[in-house]
Amino acid sequence: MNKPSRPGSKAALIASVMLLVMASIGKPRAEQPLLHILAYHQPPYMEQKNNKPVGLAIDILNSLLMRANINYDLAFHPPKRAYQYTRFHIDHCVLAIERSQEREAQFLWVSPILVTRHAFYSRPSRNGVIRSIDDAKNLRIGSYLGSGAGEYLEHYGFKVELTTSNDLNIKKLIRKRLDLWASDTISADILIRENGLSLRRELVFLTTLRALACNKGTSPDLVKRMQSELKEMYRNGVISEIYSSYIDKKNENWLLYK
Amino acid sequence: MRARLLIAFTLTLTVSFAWGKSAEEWINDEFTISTLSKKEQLEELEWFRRAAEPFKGMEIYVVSEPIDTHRYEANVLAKAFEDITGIKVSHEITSEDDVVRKLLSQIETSLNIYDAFISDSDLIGAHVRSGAIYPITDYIRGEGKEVTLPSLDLNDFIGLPFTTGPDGKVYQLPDQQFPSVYWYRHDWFTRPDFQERFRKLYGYELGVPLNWTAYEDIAEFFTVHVREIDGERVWGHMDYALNSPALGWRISDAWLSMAGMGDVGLPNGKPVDDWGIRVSGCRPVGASIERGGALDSPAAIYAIKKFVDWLRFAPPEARQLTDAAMGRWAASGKIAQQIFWYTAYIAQVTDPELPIVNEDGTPKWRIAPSPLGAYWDSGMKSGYQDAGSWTLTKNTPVDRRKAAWLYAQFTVSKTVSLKKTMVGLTPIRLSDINSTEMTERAPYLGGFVEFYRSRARNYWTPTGTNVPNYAKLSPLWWKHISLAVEGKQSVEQVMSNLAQSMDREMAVIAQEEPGPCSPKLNNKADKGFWISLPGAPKPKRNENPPGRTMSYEQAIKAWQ
Repeated sequence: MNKPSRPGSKAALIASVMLLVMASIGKPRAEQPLLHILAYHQPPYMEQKNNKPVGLAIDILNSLLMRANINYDLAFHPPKRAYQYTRFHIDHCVLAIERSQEREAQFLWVSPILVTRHAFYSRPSRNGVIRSIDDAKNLRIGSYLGSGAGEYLEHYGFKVELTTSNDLNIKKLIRKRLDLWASDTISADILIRENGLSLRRELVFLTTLRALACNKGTSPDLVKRMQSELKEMYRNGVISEIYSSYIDKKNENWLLYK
Repeated sequence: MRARLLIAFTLTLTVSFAWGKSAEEWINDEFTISTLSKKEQLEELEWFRRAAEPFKGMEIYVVSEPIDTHRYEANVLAKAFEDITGIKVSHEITSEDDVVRKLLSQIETSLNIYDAFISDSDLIGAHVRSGAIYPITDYIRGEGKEVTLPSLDLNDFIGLPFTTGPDGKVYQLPDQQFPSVYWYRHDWFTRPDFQERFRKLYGYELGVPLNWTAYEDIAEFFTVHVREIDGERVWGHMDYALNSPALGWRISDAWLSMAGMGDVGLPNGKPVDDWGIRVSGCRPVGASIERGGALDSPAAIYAIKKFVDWLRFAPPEARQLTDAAMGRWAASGKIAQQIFWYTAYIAQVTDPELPIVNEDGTPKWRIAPSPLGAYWDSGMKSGYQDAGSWTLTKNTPVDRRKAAWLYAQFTVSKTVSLKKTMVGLTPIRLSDINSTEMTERAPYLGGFVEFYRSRARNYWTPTGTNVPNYAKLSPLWWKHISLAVEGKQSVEQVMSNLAQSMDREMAVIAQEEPGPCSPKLNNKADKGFWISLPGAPKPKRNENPPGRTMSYEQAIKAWQ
């Protein structure tokens, strides 16, 4: 397996899929992007299909930045790297990480791009039911590097094992290398379906505001503009409209779009 | 007839879900202490079972901050509620700033993120203005009438004045309360050798400090002069100053009032409160002196200078800590005193295994009234009290709100309240405070019970209604104060910028949230004009009056 390359390096430019997203509609823009957005693979929110970024968070981002008249480019990286790189590079933002008090002072925030619920998943054959978060104490819980939910569990003293991406946890769970898998419910549903598995959803233990987190050196006015536009998108139904093209009406987890 | 009915519903309650326990089992195993008799407890739980029938099978979401009381609710009470009612509760525990951000997001996006919040009453100013919150007073008379517990007994809640708006409506239902008080090592303070040494150095008695001069002297005494006790490095002061939202609350939770910045008045100073915001009628008119506020006044600058300066008496780690570590640090046996200490962590300092607890379980420490700054005047609030309270938003679907309201009432019901209080030590009911169980526990809690049985519980108060939108204004505190802590700006510059930022943000709120009580900033006037008027903003005073102390016994009499 190739060692992942550092964002911004020459190797990264080659290895990562750089997707320059320029406005095709709306007002004319300057040529240089104002913002560099780093995303990570997490269907159905953010993924690359045929070298194109797609997903719910991507659609919301596109609409938001177009409305705010901000040029940007977008690159996919592993979540932890996207997070760390953004912390130390001006005019970079990471999409769509969990906003939390512990992270609050590290970024300037535009939120909520999404709201996600995080639950524990277990093998159906596992004995016992997780009815409260403390029932998961002393169990091996799988999460991924850069996950806000994983950080949350670690912060409160849970035994968390981190992988580089969320999908790897499902394999560890099936091979009994984990007792529980902690994941947001929407992407978990997709991964479970894709892998043809039947897992038991246990307790929802955390709801997170998923945000566009920007480097602290980003212009505060730019961030304010984005936040203001996002608020307006909720108010005027744009967000709801974007959700409607993704919604699985049989899946009550999507109720949060309402 | 009543006996037969009791037998009938006792039988009903004995039937439990496959995984759970019956109501009677919960009473016998968990809710063993209560201000209700067992029969009354069974009646109350039977009421919950019946009232919840239409919502059986529902899964609801609620959120609260990470303190022992809420952990007990999330890990014990949520299970009991599910067993008894069939309503599953996802009771999330998350950092306080997350609770605030999520509540703001729920209001701004209209997404039903949670079915109910346990949110601090500090947000009352926003709730009375926004129209987004369902006032409890309206709820229990209207939509929630059928699902309101007959034995709720609102008059028993000591924190109701904090959650009541100027319109007389109760907006939130208190779930837990804790003050920030003075914490100190009583055993060290009463050592004759330390007392004599202190007297020689400072010219007065070592005791509970009444003013900030004495606090500073005692901090210096232990950190600089005593330095070690039994071979261990000790510190005369403890605090926390990590650049995070917790730093904001360290200051916005009445620190400036303790210095004496605001006006007299309870639960908050009027017209200038402990955020330095002046109101005219119900309208906020400014935080800067130029607009009649006090956030950049001499008293505010003094408060922050002392906060920053005293870090030299604290362990070096203090600059990288938040309030969450304060129970652990107090328990370590290295700290002599702490001027600002939330009693939410009191359960963490009562373990008999700790070096700060005697073999018989009584504490070597005490809590006492916080010393007050040079600008403090009689009639002002004496400190901060947190009142985490159940909050219902109007955008929650009706059935989900009803189910959540049932859970909310369950967590404060007399069936469970005394047990919850004994676990988390965050009392909300007068009946619990006056209980025999609390009397028996008092000697082990270092003055905590005495605090709640005294008038002090009314003088330590949360943020009030002058603050028009807590969620939007609160980030300003830590973002500015951190610059003073890190030495990037002078305290004078920081407070000037903070006051200006507060004014600017209130101007934005005025535009975005118009209404009869929305901000309307005063025109700028000469600072001297406002300073010359009585009350806040106050002119510069002698900030180093002679230090004054009292014995513990005398000090807590001030609470009576």
